Amino acid sequence: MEMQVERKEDAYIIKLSGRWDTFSSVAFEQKCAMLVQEGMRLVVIDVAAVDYVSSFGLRSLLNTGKLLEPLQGRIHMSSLQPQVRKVFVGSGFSSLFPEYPDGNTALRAFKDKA
Amino acid sequence: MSPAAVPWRYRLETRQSIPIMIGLVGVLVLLLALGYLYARERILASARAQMAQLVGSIDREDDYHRNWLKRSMQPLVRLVATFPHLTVEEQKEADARISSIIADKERQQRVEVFLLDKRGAVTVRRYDSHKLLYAGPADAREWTKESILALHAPQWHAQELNARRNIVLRYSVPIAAPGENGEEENIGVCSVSLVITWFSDRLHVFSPFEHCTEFFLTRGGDWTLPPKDDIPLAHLKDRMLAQASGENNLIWNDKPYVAAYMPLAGNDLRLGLLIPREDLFGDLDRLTHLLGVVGLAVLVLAAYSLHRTSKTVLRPLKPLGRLAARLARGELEPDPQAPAPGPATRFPDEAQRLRQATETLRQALRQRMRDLTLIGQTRERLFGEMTFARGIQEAMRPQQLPPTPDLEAAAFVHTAGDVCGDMYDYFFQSPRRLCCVMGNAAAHGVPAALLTSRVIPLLHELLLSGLPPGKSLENINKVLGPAASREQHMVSVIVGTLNLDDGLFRWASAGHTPPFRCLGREVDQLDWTGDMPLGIRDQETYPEREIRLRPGETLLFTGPRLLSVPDAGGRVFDERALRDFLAENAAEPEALVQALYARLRGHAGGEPQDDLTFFAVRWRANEVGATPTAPAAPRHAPAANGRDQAP
Repeated sequence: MEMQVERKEDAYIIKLSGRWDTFSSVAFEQKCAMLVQEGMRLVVIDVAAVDYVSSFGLRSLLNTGKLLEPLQGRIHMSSLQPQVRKVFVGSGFSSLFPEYPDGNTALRAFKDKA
Repeated sequence: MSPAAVPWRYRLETRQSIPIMIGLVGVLVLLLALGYLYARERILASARAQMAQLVGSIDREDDYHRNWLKRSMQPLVRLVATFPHLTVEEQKEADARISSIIADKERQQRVEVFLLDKRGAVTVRRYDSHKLLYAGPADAREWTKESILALHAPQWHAQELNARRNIVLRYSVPIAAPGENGEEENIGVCSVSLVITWFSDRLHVFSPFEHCTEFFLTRGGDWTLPPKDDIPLAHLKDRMLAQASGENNLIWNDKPYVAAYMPLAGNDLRLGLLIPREDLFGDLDRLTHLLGVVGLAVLVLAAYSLHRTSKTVLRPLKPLGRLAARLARGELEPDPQAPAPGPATRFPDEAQRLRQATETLRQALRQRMRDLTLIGQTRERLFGEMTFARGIQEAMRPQQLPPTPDLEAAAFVHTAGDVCGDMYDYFFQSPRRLCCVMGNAAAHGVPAALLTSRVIPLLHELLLSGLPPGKSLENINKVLGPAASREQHMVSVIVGTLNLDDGLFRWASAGHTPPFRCLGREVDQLDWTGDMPLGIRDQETYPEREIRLRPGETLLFTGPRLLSVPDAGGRVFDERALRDFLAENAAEPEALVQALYARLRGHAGGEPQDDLTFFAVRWRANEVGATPTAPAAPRHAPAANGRDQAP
């Protein structure tokens, strides 16, 4: 899986592509932990190019969310593909990490909720 | 490896310097010999050139004296020709005049007048520069009547030695007078001889060689050396007679000499020089000896230096070689025969640094080997433990169901590692109610196995106690949730019960992939419930849903990784592929799971790299006479606890 990090004002946009499986989950978690240390609090995870997410992927997302929780950080998901959305919503993760149709909507949602 | 097995060319020994030294000595000797021969030839060439100059000088002197003899002969002949007609008194006056003509104060010149009388007898008169020395009959070995008459022109005689072993030049001129018949006829011979003692003087004047002995050798084999020297120098005489010029080494008077000789005076004479070798080659010999001594000293120093260097370098290398051989054999303990290391120096040389590095390498290898041994033991222990854990996990898998006419079930487990993170279970909650459990721990290896080994028995007991699926999951979630566990767990599970009497299937899911139901070519998947996996939120509830199976309908429970098996190109075995497979393989559960694994294996191009678990349950209501229920109108009945299906 490839990761591209982009910063827009206070928020970070992490664009993922490929398979979000066991191996890529470790890299994702480490990268996010590093970004949190650098000050990342608001994150939009764009999974438009992710075609598969495993339970490890969901767990790494959960761990990142737990890392941000005491720091008043939030994670918004955007651009979920149908097969990924099926797993993401079906396993209840949408109640933890709200999903948006695209990155801009997800970014705006930070301001709206603020 | 024993030292004898090491090829000679690889042995680092000090005797390697021996051939090097022999080669150096050979080169030095060759250079010295060539240099000596070259210098000797140059010296001899120089001596020959100087000797040639001397010979030229002597030749010029010889010509001068011969001419002088010829000129002085003319008045003598004219005077002597009048002798037969002179009276005794007149002859005395003529004798005085002849002596005055000779005018040689050193008495080296002699004049002899041989006259034939009328009787044919030969008389002789000898003069020097002072007086008439002799007058009387001539010796028969000198001139005879026949030889006098046969002499028609002046002639030079071959050089001779006189009594004092001096070279004598002799020139004879016929004395002619008118005979009785008026014709000129020989009446005698006037012979002038000259002792050329000046040759030696010339030699001393012109010769550059000191202490040399000059001599002349006539063609008759007489030479001017003292008679006693003839015998030891006989070989030289033979060489000089046979060869016009050359050099010859000889011992004379117990001293080494170099004899050089050249032709002289129209090849009638040989001029020879006996030059003491010391004078000729003394400096060269001393220089050669000096060079030899210096070269020998340099060689000795070089040999000593080589010896010292080789010992300095090679002595420390020997234990290093032993150490390297021991390392190659895997003997990593300290060498008991190794010499004790010397005191640490501030600036160790290369050999010391190499030795230190090798020793460090040995210690590192030894430590590494110990670590590897420990790792191996640990690995062996872990392997044993993992084998044991795998055995336990396999033992925890559900027992075969008792034969039930209206039910068929079959499972398939592929474990990529030693233990599996998937879990499944099926058992009878009651004689006519089957419990089905399928789940996955979001972990790998031992942690996943531990987690599943914790969840499965709990679920089993809770379900056996009669709790419905949803409540069972809620209880398990309380055990795994953040409030009860410091570790972050995430376990997805689906739990369902199948009533064999009416085909009612009631289930609750904690974020797990719903099962597929298939009948003939009709394939469908139960809806995702939208409930979270276990271990994430403490107060999570898991509402139940229910459907009613049709007789002969099959439920396929799968682990989460079944729909993520990639092929060689990275394309996953997705839901569409599974639906197609199930539509085309409406077989018995046992054949179905085997065919499904074969399909997945074919898709992956070999053994799948991840854990795969799935089981199938087929309900056959008609065969036991139960009243089959018509296919449920709504395939997803409303949940018992009132919650709606997940979107």
